[in-house]
Amino acid sequence: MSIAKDENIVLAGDIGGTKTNLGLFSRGKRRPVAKVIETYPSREAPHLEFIIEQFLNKHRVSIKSACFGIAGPVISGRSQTTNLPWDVSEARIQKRFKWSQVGLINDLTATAYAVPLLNSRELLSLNKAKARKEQNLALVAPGTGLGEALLIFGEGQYIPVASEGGHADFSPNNEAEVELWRYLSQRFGHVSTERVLSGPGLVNIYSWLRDSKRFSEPAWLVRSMEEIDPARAIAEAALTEKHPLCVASLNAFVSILGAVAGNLALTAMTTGGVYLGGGIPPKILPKLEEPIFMKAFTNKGRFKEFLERIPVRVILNDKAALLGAAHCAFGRLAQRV
Amino acid sequence: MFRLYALPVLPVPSVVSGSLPALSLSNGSKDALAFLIIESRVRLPAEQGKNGWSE
Repeated sequence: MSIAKDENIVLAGDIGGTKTNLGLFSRGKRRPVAKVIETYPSREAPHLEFIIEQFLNKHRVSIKSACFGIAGPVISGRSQTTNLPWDVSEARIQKRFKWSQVGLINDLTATAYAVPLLNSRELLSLNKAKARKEQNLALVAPGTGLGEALLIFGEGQYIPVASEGGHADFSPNNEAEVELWRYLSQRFGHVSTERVLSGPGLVNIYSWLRDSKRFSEPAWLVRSMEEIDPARAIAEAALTEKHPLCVASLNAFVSILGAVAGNLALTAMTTGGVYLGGGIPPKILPKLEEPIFMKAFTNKGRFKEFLERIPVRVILNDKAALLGAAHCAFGRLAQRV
Repeated sequence: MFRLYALPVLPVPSVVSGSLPALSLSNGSKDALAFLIIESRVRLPAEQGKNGWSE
């Protein structure tokens, strides 16, 4: 890693339930440029400061500003992570490391910051609608959970809006999905969209279809789900069409994802585009390119044509959240964010 | 689903996992059961996305 003496360096973080990415970024012409990125297993650390110390012991540089995107709601610079026993505090990190600027933002907000910075090679288009500049954007990100965020354009700039929309009610769209809702309601009580659109959500859909006796469950699939992540086993068996139960599960997942993305597009009038982020979309691209997703996305009655004019893109850059956090860190340094 | 930890009296910390009534001890004895700590908030890998596939 080579850093010029007078170069401004920021620390960016993407903190997830499974792993934490930390990176050093320089400013760059169009967007922040990664100098180094390290990945740490989140669960092995007692708190975020422990990981930051490990990183800084390895990379001894002067840091001007830092920003961390974290999986969970951030209120007044503080977050209790959804899938980790961490209490992360902006003020405590600033006091511990004595940086002039420290930002703690939701991880989807971080990804939203990155969306306008992504180039065409980092995006896959799911329809032919052209992107319109200076319009609202939406981000839907199924992964370990379901993240949502908005980028609202106003007064010459994008304002990221954090959301916990993944925990809003799951809204069935047909008789089969009503049946799915009933199945999940008996199990969880409240059925959020995340109970369906996430890694565990895909497993929930699979369990519903299996228990409804529509399909038999082969022994090799049960073994596969024990050996690897069950959501991965289902998705891979679906993409290779190895078993109709998995194909039906992933089809339902993609259809509901399309409907939810369309709902968000209508809610915030995101005529600038809808972006699919998170860990799952890049792993199921062939399925997303089938008509199922776009059919559900545009299935909004009198607003079908309106939805057809909204570009839908999959984010292929798995470090988008880190890039967005770095952009936010530079913005805070310039006191623009 | 839940996970139980048996910590103080065993040479190696033991983990009991499963769903009632099917319990299995990976390492331990009846005595260990007296020292079980129930950690119901811990999510199992299947719920979280084992191997981080979905993250």
